[in-house]
Amino acid sequence: MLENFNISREDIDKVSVLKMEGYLDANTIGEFERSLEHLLDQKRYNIVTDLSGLNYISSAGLGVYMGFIEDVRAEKGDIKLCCLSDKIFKVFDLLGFPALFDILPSVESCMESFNIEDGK
Amino acid sequence: MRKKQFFKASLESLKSVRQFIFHIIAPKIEDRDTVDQIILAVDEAATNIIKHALEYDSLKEFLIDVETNSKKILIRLIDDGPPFNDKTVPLPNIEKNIKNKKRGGLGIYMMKQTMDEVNFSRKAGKNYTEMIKYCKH
Repeated sequence: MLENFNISREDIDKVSVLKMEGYLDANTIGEFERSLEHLLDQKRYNIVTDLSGLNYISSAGLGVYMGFIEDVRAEKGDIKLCCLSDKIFKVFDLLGFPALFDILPSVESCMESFNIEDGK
Repeated sequence: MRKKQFFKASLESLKSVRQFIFHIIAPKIEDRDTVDQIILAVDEAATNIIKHALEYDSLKEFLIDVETNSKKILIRLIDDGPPFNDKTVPLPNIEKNIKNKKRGGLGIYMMKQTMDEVNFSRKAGKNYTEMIKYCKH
């Protein structure tokens, strides 16, 4: 059983989509952190995390969201989550994330929920 | 049945830890949610030991000891790090953690949410993290 983690990025207009696959734990969160740091360096604050390919997440992964969200929202952006399997949703739910983060069914619904003004 | 295995105090051990637990409990527990919860709890406990008790010293090892019977799954993680008092670890306040950009401090809470019993003790110079999940019949 291979337990790797992979993250890829796609920019769609003013929104960046990070697609995660595999196992996100204390050992693999570095790649997720670097991807978010890179987006903030580039002043891209409208972020969607597509978790459809995620097989596993521990609290270390949730901690990354907690560590970055304040900086992103301070710039009027957001980090939204989509496409969670039941298993992954249950872990976020344990810590009450549904009340604090937008968790939506699809990348498209995340895209539509960003309030992006033209020319901004 | 009882199985024990030593793991290096490196975060790279986490996948081996999860696989070790999975192979023991998956044939015994039908409910996939329960299997997932136990694996998550052990990952959180092992992460805490690697980071805080053994401070990423991969020359050191910790032991995972799993005992199963028809009534329960008992998992002990044993390390020889400095004494640890779980009473000093506050319950996480997620909104406050977000404001303070604090990422950690979630592991024990996750363990207590997913297991039926979680106990910490110190015996003969070693820390014991003991977790129990009772089997539903």
